[in-house]
Amino acid sequence: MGRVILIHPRDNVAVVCEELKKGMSFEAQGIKLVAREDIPKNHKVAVSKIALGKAVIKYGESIGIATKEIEPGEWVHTHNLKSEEN
Amino acid sequence: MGFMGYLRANGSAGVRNYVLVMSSVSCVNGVVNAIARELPELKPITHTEGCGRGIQDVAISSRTLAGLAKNPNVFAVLVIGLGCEFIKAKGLAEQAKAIGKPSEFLEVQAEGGTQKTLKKGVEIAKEFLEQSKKLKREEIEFDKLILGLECGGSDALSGITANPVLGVCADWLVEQGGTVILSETTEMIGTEEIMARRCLEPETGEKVRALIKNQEKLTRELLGPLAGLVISPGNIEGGLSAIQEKALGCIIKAGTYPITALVDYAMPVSKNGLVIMDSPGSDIFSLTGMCASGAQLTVFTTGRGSPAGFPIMPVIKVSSNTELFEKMNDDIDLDAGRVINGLTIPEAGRELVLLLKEVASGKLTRAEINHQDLLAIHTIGPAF
Repeated sequence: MGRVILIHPRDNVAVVCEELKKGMSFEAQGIKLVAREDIPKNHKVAVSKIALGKAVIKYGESIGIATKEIEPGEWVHTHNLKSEEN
Repeated sequence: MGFMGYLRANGSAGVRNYVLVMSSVSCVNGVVNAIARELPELKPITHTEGCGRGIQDVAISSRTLAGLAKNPNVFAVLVIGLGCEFIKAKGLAEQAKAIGKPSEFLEVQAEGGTQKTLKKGVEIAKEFLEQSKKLKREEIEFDKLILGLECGGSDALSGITANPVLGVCADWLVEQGGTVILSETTEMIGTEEIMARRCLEPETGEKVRALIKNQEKLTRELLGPLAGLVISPGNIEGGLSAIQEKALGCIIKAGTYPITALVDYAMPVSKNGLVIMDSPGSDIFSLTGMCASGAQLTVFTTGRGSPAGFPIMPVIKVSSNTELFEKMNDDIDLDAGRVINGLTIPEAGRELVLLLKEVASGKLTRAEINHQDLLAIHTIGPAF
């Protein structure tokens, strides 16, 4: 079982404590999820579905916009998240 | 329940009870240090300012020194001046006296040199020290506490462990009616819309937005090709994807309540709740500004480690990772790195609140035990 930290209750991404391997299960706010791919330590994993163009929420605030549809358990980084300003 | 502190004549309350000997200008730092050598219980305040600066910088250092003299942690102050400087010892002593602190000043030129000033200064300071010992701690409500927030030597975990843990503590203090100061404007770059939205009053929001935008422009001008070191998503390898994410990881240490006011560097904090102070991101300048604004205590998060403290304000050090806590153990007061191994952010936050109460009531921090008495006053222009 992998371990993640959900920083704010409103967040739709959590921080991975130790590298998550594809297929590993983890729990966020009492919901059991499965990693869809390998996700490095300190990186973000989606804990709920994020539609294309919707905000990725960490610290209870938007840190950017999803450039693809993101499923729970997917790695969230610069390949599917774009800063709102730049 | 409150903390055990020292009630002052103007209704403020100290977590410590210092007698200061302060220079109004750098030329007399040697005299200040000589007095402090005679009476080691004194807190010497020396600096590089007081003369030979532009108008803006004289205004900043003048209010910084006055703010330090007026800080609730100070029982009494002896100001040493030279005589021909811009920032007069008399003016600083009078500002402390106006809020009921025992205050005196001496000018080295008028007294007739180092030895005469030293002799007279020691007599005055000895009397202040005797008076200070008569004052006892009493129970004080937390609405009188102003907490400074600092992060320095950050790492990939600062925004995941230590800063969110400090955010829990900041929210707790605001709920008690207290005040927290978020400084380091540079580290807010990228969050201007979020910060503006969090301000209680729209006019404050406009000012905060303009301040952060201006800081970005200034940083680009000052750092040129190196600006990317500050204005960037930070460590992409380490998992940060956007500049907002990096900045939010920093400002989460101020908790989640609305912003009640924006103050300039070293200006007195006028409102309770979460207050923004415009300051450089460099730690010692920021600590000095917050203490001059009235902070009696600071919590400082660090990932790579910093020994820094402040002469007249206890600084509680929180590590973002357990390796650092073990490696620099004599510099760190609390390890938030345990959040990675299962301690929850609210649990670690409650531990920090307990430590805050203990330190406010007299428990010494690692930085105090190590005599980490650092001070640096922010300046804008060159010396002349």
